[in-house]
Amino acid sequence: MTQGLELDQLVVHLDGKPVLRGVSLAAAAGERVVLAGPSGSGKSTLLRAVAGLVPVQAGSIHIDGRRIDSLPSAQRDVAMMFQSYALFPHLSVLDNLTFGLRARGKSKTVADERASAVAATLGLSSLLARRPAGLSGGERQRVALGRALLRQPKALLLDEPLSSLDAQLRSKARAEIVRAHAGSNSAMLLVTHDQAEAMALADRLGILKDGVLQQLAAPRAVYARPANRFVAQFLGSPAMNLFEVRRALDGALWWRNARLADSAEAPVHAGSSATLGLRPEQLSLPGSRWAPASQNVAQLQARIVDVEAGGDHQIVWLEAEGERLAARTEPEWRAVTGEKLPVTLHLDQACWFAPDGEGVLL
Amino acid sequence: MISHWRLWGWSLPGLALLAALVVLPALLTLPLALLHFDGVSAPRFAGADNIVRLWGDPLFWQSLSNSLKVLFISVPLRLMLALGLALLLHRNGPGVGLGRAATLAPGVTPDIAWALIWLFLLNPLYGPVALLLPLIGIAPDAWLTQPGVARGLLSFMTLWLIGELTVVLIAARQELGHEVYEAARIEGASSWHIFTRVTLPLLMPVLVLLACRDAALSFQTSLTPALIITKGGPQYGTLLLPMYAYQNGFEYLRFGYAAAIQLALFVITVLLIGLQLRWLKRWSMQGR
Repeated sequence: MTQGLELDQLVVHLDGKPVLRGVSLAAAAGERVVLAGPSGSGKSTLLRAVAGLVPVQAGSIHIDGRRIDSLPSAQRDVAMMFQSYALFPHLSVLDNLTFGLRARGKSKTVADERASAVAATLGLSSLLARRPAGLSGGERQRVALGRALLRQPKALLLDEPLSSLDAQLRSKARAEIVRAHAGSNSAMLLVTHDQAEAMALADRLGILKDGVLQQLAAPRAVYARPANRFVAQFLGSPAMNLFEVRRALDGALWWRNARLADSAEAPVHAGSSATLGLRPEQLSLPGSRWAPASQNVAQLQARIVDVEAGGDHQIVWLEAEGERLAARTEPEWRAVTGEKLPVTLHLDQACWFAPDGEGVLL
Repeated sequence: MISHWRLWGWSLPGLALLAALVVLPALLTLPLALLHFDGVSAPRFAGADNIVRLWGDPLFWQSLSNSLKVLFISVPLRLMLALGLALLLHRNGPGVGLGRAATLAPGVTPDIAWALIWLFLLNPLYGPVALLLPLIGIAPDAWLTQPGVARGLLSFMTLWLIGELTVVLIAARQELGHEVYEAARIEGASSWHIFTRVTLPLLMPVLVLLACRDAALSFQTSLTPALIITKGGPQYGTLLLPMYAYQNGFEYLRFGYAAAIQLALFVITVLLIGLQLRWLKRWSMQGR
């Protein structure tokens, strides 16, 4: 028997249209699995299917080995935190927290005791008598999280839990979610469109597109070794630079009219082509300290068209062969718009995709 | 943004009409109550005569008690019915449009029209409803002889006037949003638990407001059937306050006395609404 949540070939149609097309994934008890994807990719629908709010057309959902996909929501032993929090506006924080236990017939004493324990871990103890309207956004978010955690469900579903918070509160709230979930036995499935949130919260990160799971792996691995061009471009800001390169018969690597290298190591045979993916930090500019040490490099002539300042870095936008490329440098690196300069491409950690964009070479 | 003045400008024709037909006559009631006036001879100043007489008039107290009895039966029943219908009809589905239209239809039918239909339905000799009354142990002509039965029927008839209540409640229910309900379901609440712990408390402010409005309206809506069907009888059992005022004014030409009854009606309505608004205020203070 597997502990945790398990989806197998899940298919969900909404209004006759397929929204999930055979998604399989597992989240072990205590594990945090984050699903990211553009809007319309089906990530919220996936949570709603697990919660029993939308019917499943095919496939199965198991929790701790028990099949739940045809059970009513109440019997699935899941809890869900909604994007809007969905707090009961007429109930106090305490009554919001204990709603589930009371609805399940637990005595008020037992429910209140459990609620005060959860409230203490989330810093809500002084707010128990208030109503949601009297709380700040961050406090409401914590109440919603507390309500979801209180019943110690087998699966904890969080739908864009931080999207209504401002940027400053978000990183604090991220830490709170991790802390509150730590030591719990719930399998957490969290959905977000925010990459930073996805990277920070995930034990494993899944990328969803058009109802198909593209990749599910540790966040570092998804970032460094994306499974296909979509994942490569979805994760990372700015997106990964892509080059359609081909190897000439003499062994040289070409991108459009630019000869990148005379003989670089690359999984491309002479006479064939592939897509080279390089993160902005894998493009280095002359004099920049922000360059990985690598043996396998290529060169490219480019012109600076724009500079975007970040606090601890800057993004230098380049133009080469009619294409915009992004390179990352330290903030002190002096960029002059319009300047032409050689760009070093570090191929050691490069991603290589098949020319059709699906699948990885190497 | 439309300027304040232009809004007033647009509202002016309506306001003028309202002032001429409603506000002015209503204000005139106060001085009229202090006069003896039969509409023919010159009015004579009466002072508090009309009020004093009203206080000692057994028919006034009878009609007030009748009006309140009808109100206390029909308003809660109407609200409950409207709430039930609203909960049935707030979702889109097959037949819902028809249901909504059917709910609204009696309310937009002229009072006189449906009162006449009821008069036919209740006819002890051939009216279909009257013929069904024996099934629940009531004689088909009981409403012509027993005041209680007549009042009950009068209240029963106005149960059809729930279109507006239902529309407002449908809108209020749709405002609540589905996520709160989904959360409640996932948390394990039964339908009854959701109704009593989520729906009812969330709709309570609207329900109280509707109760206020319906109570005030109940004094008026029950007038027409009382006038057409039971004519205040039997034994003054359906003599309602506005009807008593109507009889005094337009049948006995005692306009001063009729105005005094109207004033009493006004005071009672204000008291009722004030009471309910206080309740509403206390409720919304809790909600904060």
